[in-house]
Parts: sequence; structure tokens; C-alpha cells
Amino acid sequence: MSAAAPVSSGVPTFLTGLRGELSLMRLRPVVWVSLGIWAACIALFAYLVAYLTTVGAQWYTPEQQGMFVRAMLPEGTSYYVLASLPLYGAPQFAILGAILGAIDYSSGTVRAVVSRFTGRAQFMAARLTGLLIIALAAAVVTLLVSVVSSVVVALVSGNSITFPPLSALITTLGAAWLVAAAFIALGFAAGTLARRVVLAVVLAVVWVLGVESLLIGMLAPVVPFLGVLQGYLPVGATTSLAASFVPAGQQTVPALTAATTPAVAVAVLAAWTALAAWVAFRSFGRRDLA
Amino acid sequence: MNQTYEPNRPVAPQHRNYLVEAAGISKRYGDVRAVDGVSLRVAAGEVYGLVGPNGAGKTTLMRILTGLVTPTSGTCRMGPAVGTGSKPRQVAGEGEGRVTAGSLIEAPAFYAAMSGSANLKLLCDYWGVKRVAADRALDLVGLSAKDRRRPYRQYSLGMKQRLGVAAALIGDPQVVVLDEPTNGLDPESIVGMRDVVRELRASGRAVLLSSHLLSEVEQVADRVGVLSQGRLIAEGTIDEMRRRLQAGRWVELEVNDLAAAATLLHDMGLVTTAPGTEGAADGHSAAGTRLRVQLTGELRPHAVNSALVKAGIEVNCLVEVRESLEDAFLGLLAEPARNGPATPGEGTTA
Repeated sequence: MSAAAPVSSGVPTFLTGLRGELSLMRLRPVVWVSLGIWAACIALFAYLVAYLTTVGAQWYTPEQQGMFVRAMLPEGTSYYVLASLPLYGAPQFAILGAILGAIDYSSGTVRAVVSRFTGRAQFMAARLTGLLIIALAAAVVTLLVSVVSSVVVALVSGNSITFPPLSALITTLGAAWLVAAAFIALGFAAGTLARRVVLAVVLAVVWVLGVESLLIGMLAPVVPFLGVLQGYLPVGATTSLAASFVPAGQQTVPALTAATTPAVAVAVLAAWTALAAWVAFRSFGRRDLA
Repeated sequence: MNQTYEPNRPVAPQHRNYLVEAAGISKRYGDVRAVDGVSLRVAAGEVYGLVGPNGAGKTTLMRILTGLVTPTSGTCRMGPAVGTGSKPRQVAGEGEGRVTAGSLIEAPAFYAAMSGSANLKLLCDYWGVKRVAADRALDLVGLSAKDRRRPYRQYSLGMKQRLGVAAALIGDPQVVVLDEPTNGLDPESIVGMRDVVRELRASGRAVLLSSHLLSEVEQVADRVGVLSQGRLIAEGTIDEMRRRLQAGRWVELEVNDLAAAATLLHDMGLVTTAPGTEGAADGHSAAGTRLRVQLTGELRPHAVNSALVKAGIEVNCLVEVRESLEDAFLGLLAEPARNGPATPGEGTTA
């Protein structure tokens, strides 16, 4: 060890925090693995398995088969992939958020980073902005995999390759981004509260799959109150939003049932995102980082 | 912050540029008072050593100062941040002299899969410091080029500690808080760490460090604060601490007439003991020919020698013994009656 050579001090701000977050995200295997699994799920279940089942199953009429295959073609990229979001997109995004929210507590690295920030709000704002960017990356992956898969389906089935207008694709991208942001933020809030990766992941999975998808989803048809409530919960709003993109007379695999209007669904998802961010801010700002 | 440390020219407390100030800091966890009414100040160009046994509250106090833990009561300032009760707030804006603080508190924490260098460069991004600062900090702590490229998970305890200290030094912060910085280091690295701390002081930085190794603190600190059960029970320079604890200087004598020597020294108002029984009340062993005498005030060893020789007592050997801070510290902790809270300032013991 030798004498100190002065290097100009920096002042941590929201922007420097965001730069750090983005640098860290690029280096985090969990981000790449999660996006990779999500891409694989879309290609495998939404296209490969769905296509093979559709063309190979005996119980579909030719009209049904034609309709389902049409949804998988490039012309259906503006709505078809959104049907995957409530079923296996939501839990994956929530798990990603939970891991990102809790993992730095487990390792203690959050203490090292925060210790130089003059206020925790700047750091947390940078983290949440970083999550929005990850959500955007997830939305882009969603659309890209859908485009590529639909082209493959068109080539295999001998159909023409016709994409919807760019504006429709951008709207789809926006919807996917909103859904990804909501569930990543909810998982992140769970991670910030729990501060333990396993507990945060369990909380996220139990809520999204256990409570919303299974319990409320199965009971909603027989309990009217739950049917109304569904539209104001994240998974129900996602389903409603995705259903609003499906053209009249068209069906998707899996089928989507709207519990509320698209405008309400967007507002509900935005509200859950804001609530999750508020919870993360409060929890992070008030509790000791011991 | 441009003040230069000059050890031979003490600066009056009221004129010192204090970069760390804590007043009446307390932290409760239920019924447990982890920190209890601690006040301290660390000036630019000063090394303040915080010592105390495990559970004394050193780490909690450092966490409060760095904003990681909110105090139950009290105020603290380290650079621009001020914590008051449960609502920390920022008081220093642009132009008021922002002060950055680097810290290593408890165990270093880094991303295991990333190299040491990558970890520090990531921190540079977070803190708005140019990435070259990472390499300079690694140079300071002497982590080799090969080691800094290895994944953090492969690091030894000493390498982790060096990386933690390097992180604290990134960007040349004006305040450096180091919790047990020599933990896990080999002797050569410990010497190097002392040099780093001294250089930080020489460049006008305020350094607050804690250690269980009291000899370590003794060698680098300008002032020392002793924490016990969350309370700052003594504070002062090393010499002040020794003097106020009456544990400073001794001479060890070998004489031909132990009883006569003991009587003479007792008549001079000096405390004598047999070597190895310093803690015993008034006492020295009549057996043997060795004796310990505590020097008080300005009394010099040769004055003791002269008095004995004049009385016809033959002195075969005379050795001056300086009690370490460790001994003084242990003595202080063993005397709860003396353990009142200290107030910030120079040379306070209660």
C-alpha cells in the first residue's frame, strides 16, 4: 500500500445511480436468464406447441384450425403474443422483480452502494427507472420472438407474410411494456419488503399463480364479487388488456376473457405499478440497512 | 477542507474544520440500547480511533454516521447529510461544501461472480466517479493486477478486506470510515494499511476507524474514543487517555534491598508493585528483588534512581515501561464506576 493520489470526488445523483443500475443489469445473469426463459416460453408454448396441437388435434374443426393458425401468422403479431402475458409472462416478470428487489440485501452490496448517496430516494428512483428499462427490454423481446416465430409458422404453413401496421405493433409493444413493468415492480416491492430472495419469490408466485390465477380465476365464474374484483387485480387487468387487442371473431390460445374495459385495465396496471413503487420507496427509505 | 494536518501545531477545537459531527446519538432495538447518547467530532486531517469490545456499538454508530441506520434520537453530520431523529435530511446544497464519505463497514460486500476491478468500476458508475479511480484505489491497497482480475468469490479474507478498503477510497473522499480495516490482513499489509491511513490524514482527510486491535489504533489515531455498552466512556489523545487513566509510565527496578526501596518510594508518595501484580491493591511482593514504580506527573526515571542511590540502595537494573493503550482500555472497561458518558472535545474521560 502506498501514498494516496487524489482523484476527483464524484457526487452520486439520480443519473449516476441509473448509470450504475444499467451497468449492473448488463452484468446480472438473472436478467439475461429470465429474458431468455421468457423468449423460449413464447417460442415453445405460444407457437411451436400451439401450432402442432392445432394442426394435429382431431377435435378442432377446419374452421377452428384456420382461425388458430391465422392468429399465429405475422398478421397476428399485434395481439396473439399478448395472450401469453397473463399465463406465464406475469409470474416470470414478478419472479424477476422479486429477485432484483431482494438479492442485493442478501449480498450486502446495497449497503455499499447506498452509503455514498446523500438521500436514499435518488438511489431508489434510479433502481425503479432501471426496472422500467428492463421491462421495455422484455417487451421488445416479446415482440421480436413473436415476429420471428410467426414468420416461421407462415413459412411452414405456406401462408403469406403480412405484418400489421407499425402503429399497431408499437401499441402492442406499449401494452407488453406496461404489463412487464407492473409485474416486475410488484415483484420488486415484494423483494424490498422481504429482503430475502426465496421469500420474495414465494410471495410473488403465490400471489400471481396461487391467489390470482388459480383461486380467484377459478372461483370468479361462481362468485360474482370475485368476477368484478378480477378486473382490478394485476392478472385480471392484464387478461382484459390482452383480450382488447384480439379482433372480433378471432380466438387465441389460451382463450382470453375480459373482466374490464381496456381503459380501466391500463389504469389498473398503472396504479399497481405506482403502488409497488411507493411501497418500495417507503420500505427502502424508512428501514435500516443493517 | 483545505486544511493541512500539522501534528506539531495543534489547532484550537473551535477553529477546527469538523467533517464528522455527532450529537447525542442513540439507537434502540427494543429494550436494547445499541448506542446511547454518543457525541463525537472528527476534524479534517485527524484520525479518530473508536475502540471497544464486541457489541459495544462501534459498527452501529458507524452505520448511523453513514446513513445506513436511522438513529432513534440525536443528530449527526458527515458531509452534507444530517440525521435528526427518524427523519434524516440534507442541509448542504451546492456551494456549501459538499463532502463525500467513503466507508467500509463490517464485512466487505461485492458481487461474487465479478472481478475485484469490475466491482469497483461498477461503484464508480454508481457514484459518478471516473472509472480510472478504481485502478488508483486498487493501487493504493496493493492488490496485484492479476488478483484484481480474479472473480471476487476466489478472494482470500485479506484480499476481500483490501478490496473493501479500496472501495472506501474511490474518488478520494474527504471523510473515510473504516470498520476494522486490518481484519484478515497479513502483517505486511497491516503496515501498509497504517501508511494509507496516515497518508489520508496528511492529505487533510477525516478518518474514523474502529478496531479491536488497540495497538493498531494507538499507532495511527490522533484521538481515541472508548465505547462500552453503547456509551462513549472516554475520549482523548493517546497520552491523555493514559494520563487520565493513571496508567501511563512505570519503571521496573532490580535492587539489593527490596523492603528498604519500597519504604523509601512509598515515603515519596509513589505506588509500587511487584512485577505481574500491577492490579493488586497497594502491593508488592516481598519476595525477590524486582519492583515496579508508577511514575506520576513530571517524575523522570533517573530521579527515582538518584533517590535510591542516595539512600544507599544498590540499583542493578532500571527499565522504563510504557503501558499500552490496550492495558489502559481494559482497565477502563473493568471499572464501571468510572464509566460516565464523555462529551465531544479534546481529552475527555469521566
